[in-house]
Amino acid sequence: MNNEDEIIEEFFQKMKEEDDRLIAFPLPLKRATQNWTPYAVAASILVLLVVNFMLSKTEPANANIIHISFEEQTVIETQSLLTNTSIEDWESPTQSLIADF
Amino acid sequence: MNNDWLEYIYNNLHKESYLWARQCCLYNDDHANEVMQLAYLKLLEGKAKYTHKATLKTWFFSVIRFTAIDYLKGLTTHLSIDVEELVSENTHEEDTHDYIKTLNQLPERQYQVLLLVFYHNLKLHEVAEVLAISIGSVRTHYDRGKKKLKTLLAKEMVL
Repeated sequence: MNNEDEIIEEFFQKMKEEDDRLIAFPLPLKRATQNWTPYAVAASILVLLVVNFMLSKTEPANANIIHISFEEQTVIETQSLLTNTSIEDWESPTQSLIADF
Repeated sequence: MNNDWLEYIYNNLHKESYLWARQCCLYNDDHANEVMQLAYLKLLEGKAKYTHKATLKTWFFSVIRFTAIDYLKGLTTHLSIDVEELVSENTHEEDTHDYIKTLNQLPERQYQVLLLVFYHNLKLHEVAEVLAISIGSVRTHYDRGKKKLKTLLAKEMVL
């Protein structure tokens, strides 16, 4: 640019300085971005823990099942016996006394 | 939209882009804000794509210019606002009014070319890309604009 443009350059230079003083430059709105990955990982772990906890709960014991516990080295045994008794086979305990007289 | 471009524009070109938007919006700050938001939205939505045919600054300036044209056209059409009313809203400080008043005496193309060259430091071929006109037209507006502006400034100095 030659010297003839100096007056124009000076004009625009002053205009720039004026704009710098008077204008507040509003920043554009930034989109709020958030990394959800850590939250997703934490939620997944929590779900797995809950599911694991629910699956690991013990069920109430069946009364007909033999329980063997080695706590305090005691053995607890539960046993049920079923016997069949016939009347014909029943023998009076005093039978032998009657026959003898 | 490549986020790198957006980051670069935001960090390095925002101030100058806002000034250009303001100049395209007849020095109205509110309209300039709106135009800038719309321009950034175009980038985010992929409606304006940088093709590397020009510098990033030149390309974004052209996006702003076309966004401002559409925006102001919408205002004057839908709200029945005259362009003169838009200009008259901008009488802020007396000091700034002198520069604007002087430039407003030039035809639109001439003061746009002069602004882009002397204020925004663009080359003539870059001005042609921003304004979407031929380099020959830019040179014509450039020469005529300088001549007329010198005349106006000489008159103001005399007064």
